[in-house]
Amino acid sequence: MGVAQTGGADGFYGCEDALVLTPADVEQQFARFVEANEARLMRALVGAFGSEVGREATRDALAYAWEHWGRVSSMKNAVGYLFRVGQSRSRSYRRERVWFPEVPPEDLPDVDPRLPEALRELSHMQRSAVVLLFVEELAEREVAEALGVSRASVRKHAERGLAKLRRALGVTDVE
Amino acid sequence: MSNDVIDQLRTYLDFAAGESTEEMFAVAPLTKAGLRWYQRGPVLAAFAALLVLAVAIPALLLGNGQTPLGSQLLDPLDVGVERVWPDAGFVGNPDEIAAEFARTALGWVDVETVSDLDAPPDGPVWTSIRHAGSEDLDVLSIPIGEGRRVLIQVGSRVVTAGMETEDVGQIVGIPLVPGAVSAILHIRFAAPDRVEVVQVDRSDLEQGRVEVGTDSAIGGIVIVYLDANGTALTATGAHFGPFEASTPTTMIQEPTTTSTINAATTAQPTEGDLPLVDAFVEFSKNPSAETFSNLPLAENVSLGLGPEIVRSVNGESLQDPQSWMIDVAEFRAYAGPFSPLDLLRTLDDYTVQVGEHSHCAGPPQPPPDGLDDHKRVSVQPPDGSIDSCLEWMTVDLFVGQSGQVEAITMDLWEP
Repeated sequence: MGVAQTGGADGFYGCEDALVLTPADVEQQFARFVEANEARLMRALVGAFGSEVGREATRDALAYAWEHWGRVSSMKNAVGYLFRVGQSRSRSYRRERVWFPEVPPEDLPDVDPRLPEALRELSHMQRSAVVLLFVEELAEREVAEALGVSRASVRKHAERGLAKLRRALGVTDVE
Repeated sequence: MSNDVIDQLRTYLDFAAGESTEEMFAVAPLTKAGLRWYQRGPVLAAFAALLVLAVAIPALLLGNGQTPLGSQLLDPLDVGVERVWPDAGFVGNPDEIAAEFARTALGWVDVETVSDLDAPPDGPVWTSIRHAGSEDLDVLSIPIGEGRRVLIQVGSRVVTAGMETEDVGQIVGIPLVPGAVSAILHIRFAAPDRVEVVQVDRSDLEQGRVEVGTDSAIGGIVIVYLDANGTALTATGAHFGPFEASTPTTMIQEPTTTSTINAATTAQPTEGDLPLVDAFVEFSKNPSAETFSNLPLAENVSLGLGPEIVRSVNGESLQDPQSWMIDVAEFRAYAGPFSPLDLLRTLDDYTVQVGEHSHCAGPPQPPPDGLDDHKRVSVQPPDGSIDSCLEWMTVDLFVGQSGQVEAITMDLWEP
């Protein structure tokens, strides 16, 4: 081997950032990443694991991102990767029942109050696939990477999940 | 895709997600990763730490059991190759190894340790070391068998190590620690296999890097940060191995450790093993009657996850990739269904091992019941091809006396 490396095909992964950028630069870089991606990651993990667990998992995933920033910063599918991290970390917080808050009609007049219950009725994989594919609009390949399943499985779970949501909410118009 | 349900879902999830985590990160940016389950309420923690410092520093100067001088921390630590500390493992539970590390590496005597109670005892466990006058220090330990554990991460700061393209020598990236005026680096080198202690001063710390003047590969590193009194403030550590030089001398000595393998239960792949694996990888990428015909499958083939067989299928039926699916809801914190073909398909290059094989930061797993006498041929990503244990995987082919594959299992790393 000859060279100790933390990963990356060109030998010294993340080193250039670590050596050229000042700590303040790295902080700013990370802050920009959080600003750009936190909401997506939070929605995805909340969608998959419920409000409480998803929020905790998001915090853990972002903490992990900071710990491994040299690596995460160069990933093409960082959100998918961090979803996977959050998914793993969420085991510590899992509840018997996935919890979604009720819809306050005054704040969310356009959201069907039956949506939280409909989400609860989906399987974990269906929720994850629907949120990552349709809400966050990740590519099918990226969702497959994030969930550790085949693209065919992603399609299957997403389509079934969306169909169940539509049925539960009485939505029939499909574009 | 424009859809009323999707729009509703997006709006609702924004609401359910609540406020941003920005506040959490704004408090102490250099300790972002320390915000684990036992560290919530960072504002209170920051105030508490300041208060403790104000009270503790005078006490430390008078001496209260803490090592007062960095010179006493200069004895080389037993830094590992694919582990941080100790290379030989420590007999004890997560709390005990954390306390021993604090005492040995930092000179912290009176510490309180808090381990993640939700973590399974046979897996990785985070432990927080609490010590008066210092930030809490998190360490991650894993079991390596025979009641021993090792640390595979110390602290939350990012340590980098490697060789710059144009330079000769290794560069270690030193994360910044407020209040530190010097640091002691314990570095495990490959050739000759040794641990060196390097002391660096404020200017090195400010540069965020130090050249250690050798082109020998680096295994593990522990960095101990000292204040002006030579007292250990905190530490950080990571491992980068394996390196080839240590393989014959240090890696086969222990029977069941992180990526260390019992020599008696392993063998070199033979000329027949590589084509066998090639045939499975080829089928995974191009499933057809022709590629399937190259798979020496038994009449009945067991499919499994880790050390558990989940189901048996007719060997001929495996020509259909759907027949490879193992429909389990969750395994190693990943959601199912699973298929060994999905893993094999991702491999551009791979390592083939025969017999007991290494896991990424975890002990070797036994074969499923009833397969002890089978030849176990495993295929994994080669060293250096993955960035993290999260990407690690193995597919194991169990070959019976007839030379046919009678069982196929897959495994993933569980963080």
